Amino acid sequence: MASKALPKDKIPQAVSILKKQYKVIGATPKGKNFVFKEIEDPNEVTLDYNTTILPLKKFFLPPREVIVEFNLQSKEYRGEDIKVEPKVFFGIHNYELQAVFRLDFAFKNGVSDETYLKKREKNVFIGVSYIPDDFHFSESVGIPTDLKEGFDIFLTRYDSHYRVEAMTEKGREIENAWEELLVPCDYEGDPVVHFKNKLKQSVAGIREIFHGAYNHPIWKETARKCYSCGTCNLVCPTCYCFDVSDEVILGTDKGVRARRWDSCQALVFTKVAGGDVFREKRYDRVRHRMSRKFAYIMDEKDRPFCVGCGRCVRQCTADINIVDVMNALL
Amino acid sequence: MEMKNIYVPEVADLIKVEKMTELETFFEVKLPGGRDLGHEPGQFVQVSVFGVGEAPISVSSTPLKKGSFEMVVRRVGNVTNAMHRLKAGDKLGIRGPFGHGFNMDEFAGKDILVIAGGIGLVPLRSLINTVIAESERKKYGRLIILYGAKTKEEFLFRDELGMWTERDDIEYMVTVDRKTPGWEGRVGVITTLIPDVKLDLKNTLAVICGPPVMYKFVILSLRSKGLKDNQIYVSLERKMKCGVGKCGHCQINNIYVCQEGPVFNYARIEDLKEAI
Ligand SMILES: Cc1cc2nc3c(=O)[nH]c(=O)nc-3n(C[C@H](O)[C@H](O)[C@H](O)COP(=O)(O)OP(=O)(O)OC[C@H]3O[C@@H](n4cnc5c(N)ncnc54)[C@H](O)[C@@H]3O)c2cc1C
Ligand code: SF4
Ligand code: SF4
Ligand code: FES
Repeated sequence: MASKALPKDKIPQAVSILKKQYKVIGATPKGKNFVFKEIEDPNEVTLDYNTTILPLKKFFLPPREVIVEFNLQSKEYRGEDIKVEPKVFFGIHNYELQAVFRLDFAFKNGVSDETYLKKREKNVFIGVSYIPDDFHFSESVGIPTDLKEGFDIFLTRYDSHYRVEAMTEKGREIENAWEELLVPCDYEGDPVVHFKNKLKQSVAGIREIFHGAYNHPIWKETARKCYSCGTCNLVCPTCYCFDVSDEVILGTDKGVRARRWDSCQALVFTKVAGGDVFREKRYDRVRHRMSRKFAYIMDEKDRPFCVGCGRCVRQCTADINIVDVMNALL
Repeated sequence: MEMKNIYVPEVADLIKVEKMTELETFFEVKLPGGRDLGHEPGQFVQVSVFGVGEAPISVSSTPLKKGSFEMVVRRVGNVTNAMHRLKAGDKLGIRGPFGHGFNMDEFAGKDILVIAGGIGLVPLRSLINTVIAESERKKYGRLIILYGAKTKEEFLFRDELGMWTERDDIEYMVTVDRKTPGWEGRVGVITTLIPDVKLDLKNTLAVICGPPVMYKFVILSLRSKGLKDNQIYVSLERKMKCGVGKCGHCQINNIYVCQEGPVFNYARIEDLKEAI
């Protein structure tokens, strides 16, 4: 079957068609940066971006979210009703979706976290190819630019066109709905893309390297620059640690228990009421974050939790570069 | 697929509240319909106080006790202080039991050395009361209990301590860090009790729970007596928010204390740099 392409100038129309059936989430410019948001105006979405400030996790694990509701009068605790609306995530880079899969694993592994998993129902992902900037290093963590795993449709950029590859039933439905926007496509294969940012060694074996690196000087060196501000955790698409607190709604008998993004870089993260702190030194916390990304947690296919998006490097207050830190170990 | 919200506590009844010491209070909890909690000794629950929050608390009673379970809580912060304001008849939320406690099958036929520092006695009492129950006592060998508290005023479960002293099938030794008026017994940290204990090294399992500083010294002392690492069990405390392996707070290196612990065989964790 000859493949089809979506001309660049037809993107707003393609989004309009999606909006008839779905909430559409995509990247839009914000100042010099980009953010993922629900698309109101089909003209605001872009397929041409390096990366967004915050990853997709904010849609599945919001910065603050109610996990339980309670009533002080009737003495009840109950789960919040989670409404799932069909959503299309339009123009998503592959490391971004891989990060969502890592979160899925985390919230499914052991006991299932319904509050998260419900929001993952009825999601459609339309991927787009990208050109790595100076910070992306996904290829080093097993995510080359042509990995299309999990997408319903994948759009590959060629000049002013995007080749449309539908990979699922849902994807084919959407391709059909776009029918009149599409033109024949003469491009085959995937563009060859080079990453400037690289780990010295690809992921295989990194976990073992961590075993011997507990007292490596790089932890202290990195900690001397780090402010423990936690930005790296907030922007990371696979960081999911959270804090929990109860809030009574003023003037009522009702209240909620909410969870919020938390940071393992904060001293209080492990501090217990007796005053003990279990990762007291900043270098203990720096090492912990890196270890969670590359050694402590792996998904069911033994893939690391870092997807090489480069956000923690772009946004670090102290210009700490996870690739440099890793390369010091390798 | 029907999923259950793992964060919703079950509402339970407080049927007994009793002040034990200046800081610690005893609570007896009945689940709906008097259903058993179904815990193993050493496990914990997440306790919710309405409008205040949630905290991990050990189950202090033996699973052999039916119809209700017991806890002892030291007031140190938000939730624990709010618990101390509750009365019998009040409601509270319970999730769990969580984690792994003591697998009693491993203790069958063994001499058991219990080493409890301060409030560390609370979770270990669930094991002690399992071992000394009339129907169970024959299953196990000697029961040696070493207990240390700051002062005699901080002793928990005083009636039970008295009973332990009297029973022939329990070897009980106690020490305080600081002598207060009326104390005639031993003074010194808990490790000072260990040299006096005679152990059948091949057939003994030791269990330890106490403040974080205690473990290192007790373990050194047990090792020097000749116990092997896999004969030592520890119950560890960490910050906990979720109890279900998600929030990340309880992690010791790569393991989640709320899932694999709080009770660990020491051989399992001795290589984990953040453990002890
Ligand atoms: C497995 C386990 C069993 C425990 N068993 C008992 C027990 O039987 N009796 C008892 O009195 N205490 C026990 N603790 C300690 C008890 O959980 C804390 O004292 C309690 O969480 C403090 O909460 P707070 O709201 O009063 O204090 P705050 O300082 O206001 O704490 C706020 C929150 O931080 C977390 N936190 C603070 N300190 C601790 C801590 N030490 N451990 C875990 N989370 C903490 C909790 O989520 C708590 O809700 C146990 C802890 C663990 C991990
Ligand atoms: S963003 Fe940078 S400075 Fe802030 S905690 Fe992370 S590594 Fe440290
Ligand atoms: S650790 Fe950094 S590069 Fe890796 S996924 Fe997280 S934010 Fe991206
Ligand atoms: S308490 Fe949340 S992961 Fe263990």
